Amino acid sequence: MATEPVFDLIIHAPMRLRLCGLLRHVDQAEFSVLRDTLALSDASLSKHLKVLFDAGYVSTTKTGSPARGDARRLTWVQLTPHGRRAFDGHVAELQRISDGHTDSPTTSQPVDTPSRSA
Amino acid sequence: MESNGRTDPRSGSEARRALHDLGADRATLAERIAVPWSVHALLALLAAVFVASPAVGSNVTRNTVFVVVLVLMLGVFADAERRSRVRRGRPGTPAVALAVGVLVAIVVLFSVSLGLAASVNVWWVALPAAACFAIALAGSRAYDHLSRRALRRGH
Repeated sequence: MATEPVFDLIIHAPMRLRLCGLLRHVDQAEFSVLRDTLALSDASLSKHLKVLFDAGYVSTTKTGSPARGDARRLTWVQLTPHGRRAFDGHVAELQRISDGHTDSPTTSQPVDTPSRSA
Repeated sequence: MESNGRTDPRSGSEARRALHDLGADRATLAERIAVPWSVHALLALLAAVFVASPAVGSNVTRNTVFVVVLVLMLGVFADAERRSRVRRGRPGTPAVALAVGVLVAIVVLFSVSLGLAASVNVWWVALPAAACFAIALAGSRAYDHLSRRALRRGH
């Protein structure tokens, strides 16, 4: 079934778009992988993740790290099904725009976020 | 509203740049999660040990070797994933087909090994074991390449 193009204002911010792009094709990625791949600071990445989390697009889980000598844990990030649909719709819209269709796009409106599992 | 640095979200050039950035990121991630050569060699060695197990003679010992090899292989996979800090998604149909082919080849070689150990001499199992090592090594590297290619292509 073809994905309906829907421009998503939350995902469209460049770093959030790239963040979702990284997560779309893996099951989970650890915080440090996202940070290093996107060349972001911890604080900047956390800010973007919070926006996506509040929108119900990503969820996180924390695990212990036997390789670390301190008590800090690893943070695994994944797209939720809602986030995958939103990202796919936004990419479809970007593709439509890049193909030369410049009429007004369908834009997703902020909605009550679904429950998120951590 | 947060500034996103783009003047017009409906600009074709901006959209193409965004799509290009997504592809570049996938390529970067695919390179990052490449499995080290040593892991491929270890998996191939474990497969070869399994194929060579008819040399030990006892069914109980062979079954034990099979279980131990299986557990170690799963451990190697899990450790590689932990070190990369990425839990991969679906590898794609070509990678799955390759994996099935390699598994079939290993089973066939195990059968050959059984036959050689029973009818000729146990030392002849070194031949199918060596063939298994080569096939498993090539198969493991190819599987990794195909699954990362699927990631690069956004499948």
